[in-house]
Amino acid sequence: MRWLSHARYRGFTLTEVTASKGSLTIVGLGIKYMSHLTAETRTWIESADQVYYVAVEPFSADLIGELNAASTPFPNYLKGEPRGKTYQLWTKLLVDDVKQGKHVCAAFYGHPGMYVDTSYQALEQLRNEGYTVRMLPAISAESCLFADFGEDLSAEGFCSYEACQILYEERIWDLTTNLIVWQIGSVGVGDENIHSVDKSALQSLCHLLIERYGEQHQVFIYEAAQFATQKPRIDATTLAELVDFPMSAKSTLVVPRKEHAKRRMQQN
Amino acid sequence: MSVKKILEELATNAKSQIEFEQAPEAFLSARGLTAEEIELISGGQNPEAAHPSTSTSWNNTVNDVYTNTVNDVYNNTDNRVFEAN
Repeated sequence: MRWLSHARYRGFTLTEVTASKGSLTIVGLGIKYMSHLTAETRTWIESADQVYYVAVEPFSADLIGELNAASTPFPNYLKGEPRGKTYQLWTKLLVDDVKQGKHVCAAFYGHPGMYVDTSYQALEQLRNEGYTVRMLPAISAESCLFADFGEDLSAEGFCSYEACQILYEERIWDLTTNLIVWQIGSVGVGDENIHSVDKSALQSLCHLLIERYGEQHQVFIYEAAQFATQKPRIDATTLAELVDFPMSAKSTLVVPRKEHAKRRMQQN
Repeated sequence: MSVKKILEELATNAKSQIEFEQAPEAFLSARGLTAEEIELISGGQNPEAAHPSTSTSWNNTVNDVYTNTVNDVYNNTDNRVFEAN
């Protein structure tokens, strides 16, 4: 591909062209393979002394390897441990490499600043010790949702929570605005088994939403397209049926404000 | 043409994307994909076919097809799954 010819920063790594101490650049790959990779993300991946990455499919892993040979995936989730422990391990990798004087790039799928513990752990540790840390914006699942949904979810205001925040932290939100619930398919799953839905946690979340909106309130399960050959998934259901509705760790729940749900269904 | 190359073409060429949207099967078969591969990569958002996070079929079927097609073994064959962010 034409733009791949720009790879490898004219043959130099950042350490070779700068005399500064190590730094960390945190980037996002977006959701759709290759399509969502921004120009500035690409150049930071190409130029880093070391790239660590999390990719959801093999093509992105291959692409990062093509852009920079000094790249390696973050270690896999620790089995049987809370995911937080894995994120701490990833943070340590980044911090140690930067302290060794490397210009490190950490690449995450989606947006690196949204629900990515490692990004902020590393950012805080390194900045406190005087190192340069950059985070670049990227295309998140929410960005895709706003593009795909067909109407402006923000027009009358919206609330956005990770599913566990609603379930465990007793959040109060404005029912007259749209509600976006991230990661509903993995609510209650705290270890590496993200692909297994915790039915009891999901049931509790559904009950909580039914108390506020009613059983027949229309909601939508959204999943962004991962490849250029796919279409996004936008499936309607009711809160009463949500607990048994097909969903994945990639699913986002959209709960339209009460007056809004019927209108969208009529448009469909 | 490999699946990877086709995805890259679609990601970087709007004219190809339009051509694909108008006639996906013709677009893909013209690039030498088999019926099975066409079904897998044009299958939209069928959770059992297209989503690694929901199904073992990603690793058992889709991943095999993709990696076999690109003739490049993906190192992480350990059922990596992630949430949306």
